[in-house]
Order: sequence, then C-alpha cells, then structure tokens
Amino acid sequence: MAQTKGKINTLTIPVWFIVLVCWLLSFRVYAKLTQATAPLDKGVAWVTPTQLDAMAKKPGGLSKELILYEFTADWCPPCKKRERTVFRAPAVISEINNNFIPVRVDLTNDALCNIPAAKNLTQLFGVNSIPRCVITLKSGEKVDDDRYLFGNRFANFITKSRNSANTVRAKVALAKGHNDQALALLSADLVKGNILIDRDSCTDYLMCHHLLLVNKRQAEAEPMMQKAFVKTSDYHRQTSEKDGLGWLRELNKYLRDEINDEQLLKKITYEGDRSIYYLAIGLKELRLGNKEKAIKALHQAAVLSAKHYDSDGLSEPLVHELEK
Amino acid sequence: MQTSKTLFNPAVFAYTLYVKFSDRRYWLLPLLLVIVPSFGIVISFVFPHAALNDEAKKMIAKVVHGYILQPTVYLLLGYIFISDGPASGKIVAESDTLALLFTRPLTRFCYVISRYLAAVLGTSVFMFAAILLAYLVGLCYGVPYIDIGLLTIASIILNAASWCSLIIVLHSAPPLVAFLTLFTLIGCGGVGSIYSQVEQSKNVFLELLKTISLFVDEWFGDFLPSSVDLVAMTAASAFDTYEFAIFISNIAFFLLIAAFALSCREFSYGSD
Amino acid sequence: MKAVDNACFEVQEGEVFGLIGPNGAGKTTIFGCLLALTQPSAGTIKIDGMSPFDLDVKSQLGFLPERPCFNRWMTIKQFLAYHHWIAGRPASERESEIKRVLALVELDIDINRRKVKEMSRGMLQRVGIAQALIGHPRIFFLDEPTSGMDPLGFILIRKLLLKCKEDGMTIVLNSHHLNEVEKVCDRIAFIRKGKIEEVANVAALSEVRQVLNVSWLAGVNESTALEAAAESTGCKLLETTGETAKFAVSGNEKAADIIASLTASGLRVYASHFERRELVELFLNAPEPESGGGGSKHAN
Repeated sequence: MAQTKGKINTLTIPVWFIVLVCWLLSFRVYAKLTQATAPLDKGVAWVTPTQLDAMAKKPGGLSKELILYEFTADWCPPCKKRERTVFRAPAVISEINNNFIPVRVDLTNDALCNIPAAKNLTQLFGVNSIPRCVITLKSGEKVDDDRYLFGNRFANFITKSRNSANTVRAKVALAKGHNDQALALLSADLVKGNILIDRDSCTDYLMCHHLLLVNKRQAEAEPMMQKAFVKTSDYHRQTSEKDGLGWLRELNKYLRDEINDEQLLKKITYEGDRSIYYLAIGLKELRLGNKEKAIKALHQAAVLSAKHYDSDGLSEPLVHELEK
Repeated sequence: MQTSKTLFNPAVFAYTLYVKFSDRRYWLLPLLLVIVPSFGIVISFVFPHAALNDEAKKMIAKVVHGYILQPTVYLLLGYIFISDGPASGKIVAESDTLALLFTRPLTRFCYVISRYLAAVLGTSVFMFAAILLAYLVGLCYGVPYIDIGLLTIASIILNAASWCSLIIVLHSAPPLVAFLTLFTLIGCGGVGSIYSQVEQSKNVFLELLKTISLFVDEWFGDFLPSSVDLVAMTAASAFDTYEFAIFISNIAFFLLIAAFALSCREFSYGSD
Repeated sequence: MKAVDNACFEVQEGEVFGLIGPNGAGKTTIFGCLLALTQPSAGTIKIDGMSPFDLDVKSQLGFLPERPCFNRWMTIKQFLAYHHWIAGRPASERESEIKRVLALVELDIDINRRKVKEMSRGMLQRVGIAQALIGHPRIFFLDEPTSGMDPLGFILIRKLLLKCKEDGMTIVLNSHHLNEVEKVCDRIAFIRKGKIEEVANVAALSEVRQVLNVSWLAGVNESTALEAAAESTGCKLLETTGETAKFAVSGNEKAADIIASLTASGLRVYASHFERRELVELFLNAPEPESGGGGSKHAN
C-alpha cells in the first residue's frame, strides 16, 4: 500500500487502453486509404468498356458467352463494400472468370461517365443508381440484373443468371422463328412443368407452352400446364397469397380454349396482367397463323409491358421479327 | 493487483448482471424477448397456411436466425442491464446514484468496463437463451435447421458487444452530450446514402454539398454500431477483414468515449 | 458562475469540523470538491497528503449525501452489501459489518424484506449513515445529517458523531442547523456567498458568547454609568433597552466587576443573569467578507 500511495487517480483512463483504441482507429484509416488504391489485378479479371468494344470488333474476340457489367464508383460506399467482399471471394472469382467477360464501368467522375462506351451502357441499361450488376449474352440481350446484393445472395444471383441465359437465347431463337432450337434451349424443368410461375417468369411459361404446341407436342403441353399450376398454387398457399393466382388460373383456362380472347380480357383485376394476357393472345394467334392479329396483340403487350415493367423480354423482339 | 483493481470491479459487475434481477419487474421484458422467436415458430405451426414443406421450414429457421442481428433487441436488453432501473423512468443517466458510487474507491474507467462487460454477458445469455429455446421448440415441430453452433454464439457475443457499447456511452455521458453524439453519428451515416445517384448536377452549391456529404460519410459514416453475422461472413463470400476491423474499433472507440465522458463529468448530488 | 470563491481551511485528524452557512452558500459545492465529484477551477485540496481524486483516499471515506437517492428497489441489506462490496472489503466480514452499522444507527427492521423505496425520509437518512459508516472509514463526510429526522434522530446523530470522534474518525459535516453543529463540532467555518468568513473554535466561541443581562430601577443617568462600566471592565456594551442592558462578558469575574461598577455609579441593579447568544446571532452580526486569495483545503 505504501508504495502505491497516491498513484491512482479515479479519473485516469489507462494509457494502454488509449493506445489500443488509437491503434485500432489508425489501422482502420490505413485500411481505408490502402483500399481505395488497391490493385485489382488479383481476383476478377476486369476489363473496361472501351476494351470490350475493341474485343467485340475482332472476330472471335469475345471468348465467353456471357458479359457481366458492374457499375461502380469510388464515392459509393456500398460499391466499395462489394469490391471488398463479393469480388474477393474465391468461389465468385472463379465463377466469373470462367464464365463471364467481367466489365467494370467506373462512374467516379464526369470524365469517366462521358467515355462513349460507358455512356452507352448506362443509357442502354437505364442505370440510375449503383451498385448495379447487369448480365447479358455476348450478343447483347440482357439476362438479368441486380441492385444491392451482397455475400451469398450475389453468388446465387450469378449462378442463377448463368442458368437462365439459355431461356434468353430461346427467346432470341423464337423471335427469329427457329422454334426447334428455341425449345431445345429451354430448360428441362420448364418443359416438364417443374417450375414456380410468378408474373416475372410467366413469359417463359407462355413461350414454352406455345413452342410445345407449335412443334406438335400437344401431348406434353397439357401435363406441363397442370403441373406448373399445381406447383405454383401450392407455393402461393404457403405464402398466404390466397388470391394471387387468379391471373394464372384465367390464363390456363384460355390456353385450354375454355374461354376466348374477350372473356380473358374481361377477367383482368390487376392492370399489370393485361400485358401478359395480350402476350398469350398474340402467341395463340401466331400459332393459328393469324399474323396480323398476332402482331396487333403482341404490339399491345409490348406497349403495356414497357409501361408496367421494363419489358417482358418476348413481345418486343417477336413483333420486330414478324414485321419483317 | 493494482491494475486489476482499476480495471474490473466485481460489485459493479454483479450488480449490473444479476443483483438487480431480484426486482421482479426487471424480468418481464427480457423474458418477453427470450420467447419471441419460439412464439413465432409456435404461431406459424399452430396456424399454418398450408402443409409446411422443407423449404418453408428452412425459411422459418432463417427468420429465427435473423433475430440475432436485430439491433432493437440488443438495445432493449443492453438498456435493461446498463440502466439503473426501468422504474426510475430515466433513459440516459442516473447521476444521483452515480455520485454516491464515485465516493467509493472505484475509478470511472473501471465502472465503465465492469458495467459494460456485465451487460455484454447478460445480453448474450438472454439472446442465446432465446435462440436455444427457439431451437428446442423448433425440434418439437421438426425444424432442425436453426443454427446454434459456435459461430452463432460468437455472433451473438459480438453483436451484444457492439450495441452495448452504444448504450454505455448514452449512460455515461451527460444526457445532452449523449443525444448529440447519437444524433451526429446517425447523421454521418445517413448523409452519404442520399447521394447514391449517378446523375451529376450542374449546380455548384449542390455539388459542393455532395462532396462534403460524401466525405463525411466516407470517414465518419461507419462510426455507428452494427451487427455482424459470422455464419454468413464465413460462408460463401470472402471474410471482410476491413468490415470486421471497423466493427471492433467502433466498440473500443465507444468504450473510450464512455470512459472519457464519465471522467469529464461533474456530479452535483444536491442543489444546496 | 462561481459557487465558491476563496475557501481555505484545514481539518486536523480526529477533529469534528462543521461547515455552516445559509442555503446557497456553497457548502455542497465544497463537499463536491472534497469528494472529487467536482473539479475545483483553482486551488488545491489535499486529504492525507493526497488528491481527493486518489483511489486510496476514496477507500477511507464515508459519505452521507444530502438527498438519499439510492436505488429504490434494493432491499436494505442488498444496498449495504453492495456498498461494502464496492468499497473492496472482504466478503467474509460483510454480514457482521452490516449488523454493526445497523446497530450504530439503531435501525431495527427486517433488512431482508424492506426495500429502500418503502422507507420514510428519516429512516432513509439512517440507512444513508449506515452506508457511510460501512467498512470503518477514517474520514466521514455528512451533508445535512439531520434533515428529515425526528428529535430522536437528532439525539442519535449527536451520540453517533461523538462515538465516531472517540474512535478517532475525522468528521466533516455541513449543516444549517446551527444548534446541532454547535453541540458536536470542535471547530466551525462560517460560509456565506461562497466565501469562508471565519473559522472559529467552538469552545472559544462559547466564551465570547456569554452575555450579561442587567436590569435596574429607573433613576439616574444610566448611559454614562453604563459606558463607564464597559470602559473600566473592557467588556462590550451590546445593547440598551429601557432599564435593561446587555454586556458581552467572558467569565464570572468580569460580570461581577460590571455589577460593582454599575452599583458604584449609583445604578440600582435589581436583577442580572447570564444569557447565551445563539450561534446564528454571531453569524448574522459578522461583517460582510472581503474578497481574498485562492482557496486551499486540507484535511488531516
């Protein structure tokens, strides 16, 4: 007691603690400063939009089937976080490098935004907020995009869009009239009806149904329809969306020829369903060979879908192809 | 001996952790928070929308796991431990009891650390009890997917450490300072996210404002406690060392602020 | 704003020291400084040669706050045990120590059941004293010990303080109950408007404070006789009202001299008696203080 008499002030904070906190804080500043300039040579093999343009001009320059555009900027904290986390994960890196041409579109300042290639891309995909990742076929058709995914969910997103790339190819083939090729590209699950149908994936379902009929595989069309409807309605019952299936029920009745065009259009409860119904009508008219009517309905669907969503991804190219 | 004396006071620790639970009112809220996830599971099985398949059960497990990331739960539990009593009705500081306390041989730093450790331990125990109960209830209904592994426990402790550090600052600083600190931190965090738009404005003033906001957000935006999910962090994506460094340094920094604020505080125990 | 300016005093070991003054004089602020709850803007405080902020000082302190703001839901036993534990005393002597201090404050209740919030103001005051006495403090600070207490409590505190003094404790107390202070203190400091006006020895004060009250039958010219008597004995004439006068005297000798002088002057004195001047009177008659230098407080 004698030696320590008068040594400890009740207000003092131990020096070691202050040093520890200062060290942690300075480490954090250090990490922040080095992170901004960290070389990106390891990991994802990014290219710039200008480089991509150059590659596209060379025949056979695009070595992969899919392109992944990552829109980012230095001033965007979530973008930085994504660079730190998801694009450093070994699984994601190998997935991207093996299957995609990764394009990093840097929008840090005016100069970078106004590079023609970058400007085109921002306008093309309507990028108005970042981080944003867009995946397209190498021919340019958009497969999927995400806005704010991190960690596992981003990895799942990439894998999922790689798998759904074939559906996009099928749409392209269908628009060009290569029906056999289109059907071959569609996934087996879709053809067998092992899918959940929501409003987004409904065009795939309609296309598949249509292709089966066009290719005279009528026998497969009806079971697919049954199966898909049951699976979807099961799911909707679980998620307590009791009346969420009205549109699909009406659509299936129409595909079975139980109701006609006018009756179908009368059943609209949600305005967004209108474009799907017109798409179904368009596809049916196409199958029956009424080109004029098909164009009219598909055109209607394209206008409506552009109004409610970005696009349904099917009616527009079909109209384009038919009008030729 | 001397160092341990100034670092940790068992009396304050014990008081914060369990002595106050001799008052039955303290039990009410923590117990409610403990049964919330299990209650959720029971409800979803008693009133099912449909036959619950495996996918739905995994979904339930996911929602329950999300409970360990809920700031509100940690803040409530941390508040129960660190405050001197819900009955007193004071949210931030109980300066009267503190004044008497500091006439005892107890350094202010020691008080902050002891109280903080007790709160972290207590909060973690209640959180773990909640998850464990949910796990057991889940087993009864055949949901074996709720994770109660080491990583979950570590996440709970870290999250408790993170959110309790905020509460201890609010408790230690004078009320006005405490709220100003909180307000500034939240402001710094929010100011940058206004500008995630790509568009560039022609207005010089707006551009300047944007530059300032982004700077503040860049350097001070992450000074708020947050939750970590080690299970997710160590899963598919890379372990974010930087994020983790921020997390840890925030805790240490908040403890330092708390100790500093308490040391600077003057107590007047009565108006003469 | 300054609450206290120029407070300089020294307390000896084993002494009972009183700080007295009206409300708002700055007594509590001085206590705050002594207990290291407030940082004085200038001057030094040494307790046993150490700063009041020192941990070793704190372990020798006992403190009774003015308002008993204890954790309301605690039982009395928990409360006392908590403070015993914080003070870092060994757990083995906790039970006996609690019993000891409760016996000291004569609190005979079921300490396992009764909670702080169920106590009356006077009882809380006793609990507070028990809390302060726990763990044998060497220095004992009391802020308004008698507030909220019944007459029995007054007696108890007086008894208690005298016992503590016997045990060699240094006691600093703070009160506006001047009578109480007078009965226990060795020395007192008068505080007014944040300044220490005077530090006085209570024993010496009682000498100064004897007053001789003389009454006589009306007749001769009293004023000259009174002045002459005051002059010859060296005692101060305090006041004259009709046929009575008051002298400040110190001791019986002087009193006898005054009476003799008055009689010699032809005044027919028919009654005289001692009366005590109240402390408060002394306090009120003191001149307004002059401002002085920096403050320095010492204990022991």
